[in-house]
Amino acid sequence: MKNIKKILYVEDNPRDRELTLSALEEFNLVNEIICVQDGEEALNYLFKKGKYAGLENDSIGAILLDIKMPKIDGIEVLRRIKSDDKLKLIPVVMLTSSREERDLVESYSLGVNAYVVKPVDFMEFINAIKSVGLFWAILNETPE
Amino acid sequence: MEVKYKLNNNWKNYLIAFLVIAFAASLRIWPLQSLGLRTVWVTFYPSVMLVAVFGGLYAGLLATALSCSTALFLWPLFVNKPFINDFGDYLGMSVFIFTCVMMSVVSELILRARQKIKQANSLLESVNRDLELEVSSRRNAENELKAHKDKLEETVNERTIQLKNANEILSKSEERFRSTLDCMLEGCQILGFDLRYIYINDAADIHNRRPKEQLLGNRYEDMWPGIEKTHVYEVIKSCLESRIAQQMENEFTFPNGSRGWFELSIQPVPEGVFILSNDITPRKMIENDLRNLNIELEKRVFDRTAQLAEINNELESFTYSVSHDLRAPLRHINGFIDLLLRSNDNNLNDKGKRYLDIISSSSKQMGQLIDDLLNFSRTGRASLQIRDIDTNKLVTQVINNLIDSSSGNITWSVSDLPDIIGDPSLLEIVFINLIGNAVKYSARVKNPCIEIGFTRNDISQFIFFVKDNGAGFDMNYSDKLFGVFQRLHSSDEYEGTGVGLATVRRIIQKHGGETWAEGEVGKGAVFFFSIPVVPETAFITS
Repeated sequence: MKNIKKILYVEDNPRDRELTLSALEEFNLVNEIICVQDGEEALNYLFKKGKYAGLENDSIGAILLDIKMPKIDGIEVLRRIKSDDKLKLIPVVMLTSSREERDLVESYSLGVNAYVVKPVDFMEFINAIKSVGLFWAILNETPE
Repeated sequence: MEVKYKLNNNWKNYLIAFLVIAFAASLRIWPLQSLGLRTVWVTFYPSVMLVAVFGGLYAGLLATALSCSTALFLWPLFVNKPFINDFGDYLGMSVFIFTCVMMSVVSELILRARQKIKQANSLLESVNRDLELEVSSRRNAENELKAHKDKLEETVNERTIQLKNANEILSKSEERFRSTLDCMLEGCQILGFDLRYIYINDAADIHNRRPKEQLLGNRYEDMWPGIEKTHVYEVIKSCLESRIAQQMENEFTFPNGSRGWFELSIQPVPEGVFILSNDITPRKMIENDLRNLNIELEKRVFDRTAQLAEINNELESFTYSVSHDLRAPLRHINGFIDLLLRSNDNNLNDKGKRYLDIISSSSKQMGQLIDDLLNFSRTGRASLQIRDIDTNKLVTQVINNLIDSSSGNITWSVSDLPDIIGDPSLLEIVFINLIGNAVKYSARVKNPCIEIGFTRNDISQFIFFVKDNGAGFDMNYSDKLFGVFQRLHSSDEYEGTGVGLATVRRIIQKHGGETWAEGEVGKGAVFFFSIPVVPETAFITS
């Protein structure tokens, strides 16, 4: 199981988290999903700081990132990821409540891999997750 | 003058000499024979003298010779005795010849002197005549001169009269100009080269705020202490020197501290410098007020703009927040209902399931409403991204998407549509709304029929229309069709949020076009929008 990469899921809203995780269960994923509460924690995890200092041998295959979060928002996290030489290779999917144009434009200009608007309909959401080809990103090895 | 002497050798003198000697000889031979021999020359002496006096040298010599000949040759014939008898006779004859020759010479000299005198006289006379001539010519010249002088005097008199008249006219004209200057509304002042006041009119009195009597004859600097440091003083000085007219607006500070604005025209004149002044204080005050008002207005506009920008920012944060935070609870309601329905141990009866359906559909409807409203507000704020649009392609796409989610028995009639220039994503929303409405409102008729086409009202605009044979509407309420939240059908009849057509109108207006509709209840409706063939610049940059 060592080769199977983890998925980092950054979401501040516990209900959204529960719903998303339920949706992902639908796919019977073997990947471990690591949930963090906000942007700060996500960055700590990725850069191995704070309570994640000293974390070893941790390979992330994909990042699911909410945009609107307290402290450090998803756009800022994305910026930091994409400006780091190692991390920028990890595919990032933005999960957001809205189609706000400025978020979309900014995300794509920063180099996001996919952008999913959380639909009100749960099934639609599952379809949306499917449609961005998340499985492809996770099951295939990303270049080291 | 040179006098020429001529000997008197006139033949008349010789004839006279002959006759006189003949007479003297005859007189001596006959009646005076008795006088004897000693007095032989008694008649010849006066005769020769007479001849010499009248005839000159040659006549005298001839008479002498004749006398001697008579005495020598005729005398012996008549007295029978030779004339020369002894030495005495010879002496007598020699005395006679000598005396006669002398007399002749003297006579000749006398004659010559007389002739000389005569010539001198005639010379004198001719000189006299010349003199007289000259005198008379002088007199003529004098007369002429006098005539000239008279004429000149006359001319001078005439000219003097003319000059006097001209002077009168001139002084009248000067008076007229002066009175004009005096009464002018503009202030007029003349300063001499020494900057002394030469002339001031009544208006200038008012401008100077002191009577002209105080100023006239006085120097400019003395009358307005401190004026040397002002710009107007420099201008006046430079005009005096350069003789170039200048114009300026000047704020003048009076000795009492009050101020006034004057428009000045400073011109060189022979006496010095002429200053024409206009009091523009009221105008300047108005200008000043206007400038202040403008500044205030600009400040207000700036403040308002800042306020507006702030409001706009707030609005944007608000819609951003709405789009994220308002949708989240709905998503949760819907998501968890779904999870509940999916779980096997939900213990729900049919009634419970129905309630959950209602909750779910209501939350979806609210989600839709939020999306529509956000779309609507976004179309208001977003700037147009102008592109060339393949309208046929766009409309076909929209129709295909709609057919997927609706019944497929609609008869479509789509014309070949012209390409347009506009914002593709916004115009897609327009077609989605209009065609979606047509589909929605014709869903309940037997043979739904939807027609999409265009006309061109003039060169500048295309008019597109979407026509259906559905529910239609009451034309009395046509003005309400495009308002936000305005619906002509209840949600029970047809679903909808009442935002779609308002969004259409807003998008079309942003493109510089218009929207309108025609319809009849139960017979269908036609929705029109116009769009400029060439987009107006104002809409591109908005």
